[in-house]
Parts: sequence; structure tokens; C-alpha cells
Amino acid sequence: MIHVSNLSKTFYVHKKEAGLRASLRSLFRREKVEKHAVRNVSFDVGPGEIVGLVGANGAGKTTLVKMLSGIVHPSSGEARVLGFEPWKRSNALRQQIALIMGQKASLWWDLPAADCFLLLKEIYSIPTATFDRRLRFLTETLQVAEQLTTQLRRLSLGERMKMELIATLLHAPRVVFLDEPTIGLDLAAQRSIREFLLQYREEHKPAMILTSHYMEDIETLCERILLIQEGSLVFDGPLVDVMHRYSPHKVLTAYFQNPWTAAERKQAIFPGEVIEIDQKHVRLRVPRDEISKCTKELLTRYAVADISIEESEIGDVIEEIFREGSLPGSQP
Amino acid sequence: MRARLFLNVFTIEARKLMSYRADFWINTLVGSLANFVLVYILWSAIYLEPGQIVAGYSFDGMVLYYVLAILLGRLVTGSGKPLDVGQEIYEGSLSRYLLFPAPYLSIKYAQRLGMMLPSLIQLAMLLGAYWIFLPRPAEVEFKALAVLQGVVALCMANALYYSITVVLQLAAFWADNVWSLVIMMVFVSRLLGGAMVPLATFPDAWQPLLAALPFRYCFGFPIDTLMGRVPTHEWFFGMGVSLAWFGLMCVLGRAVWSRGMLRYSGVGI
Repeated sequence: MIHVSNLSKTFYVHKKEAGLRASLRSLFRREKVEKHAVRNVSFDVGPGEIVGLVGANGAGKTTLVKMLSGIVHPSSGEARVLGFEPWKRSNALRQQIALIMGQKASLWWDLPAADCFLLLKEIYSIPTATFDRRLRFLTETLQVAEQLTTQLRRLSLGERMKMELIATLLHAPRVVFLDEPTIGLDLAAQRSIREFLLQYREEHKPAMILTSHYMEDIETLCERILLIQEGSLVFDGPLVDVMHRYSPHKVLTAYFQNPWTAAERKQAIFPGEVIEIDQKHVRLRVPRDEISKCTKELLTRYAVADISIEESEIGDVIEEIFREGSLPGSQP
Repeated sequence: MRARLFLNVFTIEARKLMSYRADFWINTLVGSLANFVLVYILWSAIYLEPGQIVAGYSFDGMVLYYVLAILLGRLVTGSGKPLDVGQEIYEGSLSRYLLFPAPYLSIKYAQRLGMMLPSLIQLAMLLGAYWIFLPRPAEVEFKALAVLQGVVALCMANALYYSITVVLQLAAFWADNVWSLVIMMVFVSRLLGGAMVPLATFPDAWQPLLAALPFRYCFGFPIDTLMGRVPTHEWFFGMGVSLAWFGLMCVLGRAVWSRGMLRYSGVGI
């Protein structure tokens, strides 16, 4: 449903130094700087797939989404969404796609949501019966039926975001771009939006691309992620592969049956790297493929009351990847 | 753009504006009346002798010209509220419209017409007040044909002014802020269009230039037509010039839009 091949976007932005002198100089001469927002990105997304677009701020995620939704022209490369070149903005394509930008309101603030939805009904030529059915379903599922007649600017952020989501999905798009759909929302609202998106995916099988800084969004919704770093795609694959590839260790915690003395702790030899040790427990970093061997060794050697094995947090792993700057062995 | 959608956008915009009651009444009373009182006092100081004629207008004729200039001017310029195309490009809120399967500039035009509905109500109220309280000029005889031609010229003026404004505001694709350009356009169009003073008061040498520029057809031409001062052959000529300018602006607007969209970033990266 979405095919992207060597897509790039370069912006030319004016550089302006701070200070009055620089401001005066800029009245006569301004320096242009090239900013490569997206570089040679290629990937495909199929029906029913929710793909997470993950990257640091300014990595190029939003620019990529804007190009695929037809808002921004690329500098080079190709993309097809449902067989159309998105930036040509044919009505046939626009009838079938949607974009929600969590940081920007797309509805009209002075109007109640009901009026906005009626306008969208006309814009997307939705038959009245279909519109009524979908609106009832969406408002009931997201529990905002009572707020329909309230001016949007008088709604809470969570309610407004739910209205935005309804507006996005009223025409039952086959491709949905979600740019930070849960930003600024409380945990309950985030959860309800995630559940709703999963339900929508089950029923409509759209192709979805999701960008979010909340790792819980990515973990709950996406089986596959695209890691973007400085405009380049550095990883494309299942979420679990990120863990296998970039987090080769697990954390093993053993709780002792009896408190250990300082001398016992000093003498002990553990399988794996000790992260932390005290009287009651030890935390070890153990290679992923040696976890069963190490567990067995621990249980044989010491009097252990309990053991837990933890996977590293996906958020921590991705943060680590971006902090290190390069991805060994990654394939765009 | 489909008629139903056009009508929907139009009514939503009108409802939105009329929901702000204070703004409506301040606009009606302060905006229109204060403006009228000012020019009434000014022209009273110029027309010192009874029966005096200035640029072909009697005092009562001049008063009527200004009443129409103030009220019809609002119908041409969209309630006096500046078009927000430039602002939407600058702020990136144009993006939401680009996703809709409907032409952006047609949606904006429907919104603009919707904005004028309160102006139509103001027009009816203030014209009624004029009819009751002020003497009508002896030289003006309202004829059905002149009124019909005036209404047609007014519709054309509205479309022409919109097209000029859009082309100017599309400069926001290149310049971050087009506010000064918009202000300049408002001032120049009102001055050279006859909204500030009737164009007949300009020197004769200026008249061919004023007739060739598009601004006259936004203000002075429809007003003079309604007042029965434009013979039919001149009206056809004026409509021809208006149409030519409108066509040029459409072609120019399309070209600027296409080039501008290549630069549009939707704000942020």
C-alpha cells in the first residue's frame, strides 16, 4: 500500500546569528544553509500493518510523513501510496488517506466538533447513513458523544485529540499517518487511543505509519519499526529484532535465601557481569544466548530463593542506539 | 468544487462570525458609522455653497457615494477582514487543507463569502437608515438596469479583489511575512480604486491609467454603476477589463501556487 524508494528531501533554511548587528546585516544579505531532512529512504508497508517510525527530534520523521501524505514535495526519489504519487494530490488518493498531527490542530477551534464533522462529511462526500453510523461508532468507542456540541477550544486536550482522531477516520481511510497522536495526553487517554487504534486496525486493515516519542505507543501498536537517524533509515525490521541485534544482554536478578556478608560477596564468582550486589540480591548482565546456562550455574552454586530475568527497556535500547550515533551491522 | 460543499463552508463561516455578537455590533456601529460621520464632516467643509458640484457629484451624491463605498467595500473585501492565506502558509496550517479532496482556494473563497453575510445584514440596516434620515441626490435615479449591472459588477469586483489578494499572499511561500504587502495592497487598492475619494476627483491625465488598472473595478466602478453614472457601453468595457484582470490573476495564481508548493515545508522538519 505504501512503497518508498530512495526518497530524499533537502530544505534550504536561512541562517541568522543572534544579536542586533546580525539582524541588521540580514536585512541586506542572508546565508542559506542546506538541511538534509530525509536521505535516500526506502521501505514498503502492507495492509493491516502498523509501522513505527522512530527517531530523535529533527531526525526527519515528520518530513517523511508529510511527503507521504502529499503535503511536501520530495527533492528526489519515488513514493507510491495506494499506487498514487502523493505530492500530486489527486482527489482519488486524498479520499483514502488521513494524517493526524498531535502537535497541530486540524479542526476548527471556533466550531463544535459536530459542525466540523458535518463539514468533513461534505468534503469527503460521505453518504449520510454511513456518516451517522461511523460517527456513532467512533464517538461511543472513544467516549466523547456528549462533547460533540461543545466548541473545540473549550474541550480538554484529551477530548480534542479524540475528536481529531474521529475527524481523521470518519472517511475510513485505507492509509493512516499518525504523527505523535498521544502527545501531551494523560496515561488513561493514551491507553484508550492505543486500544482504539488496534481495534480500528482489526476492522479496517489500513496501512498505518506511526511516529511517537512514547515507547509504549510503539511497543503496543507496532510489530515493525523504522529507525531514522539524521534523515537516513538505519533499521527496518520487527521490534524484537532491535532487541536481539542491539541489546545482546538480559538482566538476571537472584535473591539470596540468607543475607550475604561483605566477605561472601567479595569471594563470590558470578556467571556474567555484576551490575549491582548487596546483602539480599545480585543483578547480573548476561549474554542473551547464555541465560539458561548462567541461571543453572547460579542455582547450583548458591542458595537462591528467587530469580528474575528482565529484557532491557526498548526505549533505553533505542536511546542508546541514538546516543552512540552509529549502528554497527545495521542495514537500511 | 461541489455546490453542497461550497454552501456548507459558506454557512459555517457565517454562523461562526455571527456567533460573536459584540464583534458584529462594534463592526456595524463603530466601523461603518464612525467612518461615515468622518467623511460627512470632511465633505461638508468642502461643499460650502448650496448646489455646488465637485467632480460631477452634488453634496448628496457624494454622501451616497461614501455610504456605498463603505458598505459595498465590505462586500468586496470580505467584511474588511484580511484573507489568511499568507498566514496559513506561514504557520503551516495550510497542511490540513492539502489533505482534503477539495481545492484549497475554493474553500477559502467560500469561507470569504460566508464572512460577508454579516456585512450584508449591516448593509441592509445602514442603507435603511440612509433612506430614512438622509436626503437622496436629485441627479441619481435608481433604474432596474443600473441596479442589475451594479450587482453584476459587484460580484465581479468581489472575485477580482479576492484573486489579487490571493496572488499577493501566495508570496508567503517565499517571504516569511507578507503582512506589509497586504497592508500596501489594501491602501493602494482603496486609493486607486475610488474607495477613499471618487476617481473623478483625480486629474484627467490619470484617468486612462486608473481605467486600465484593476482597482477601479473593485470599488468605484460598481458604485458608479449603481448610481446610474456608467453608460451601458462603458459598463461592458469595464466588465471586459475586470474579466481580463481576473483571468490574468487566475493564471498567475496557478503558476505561483505550483511553484510555491515545491517550497512549502508545512513548518518544521
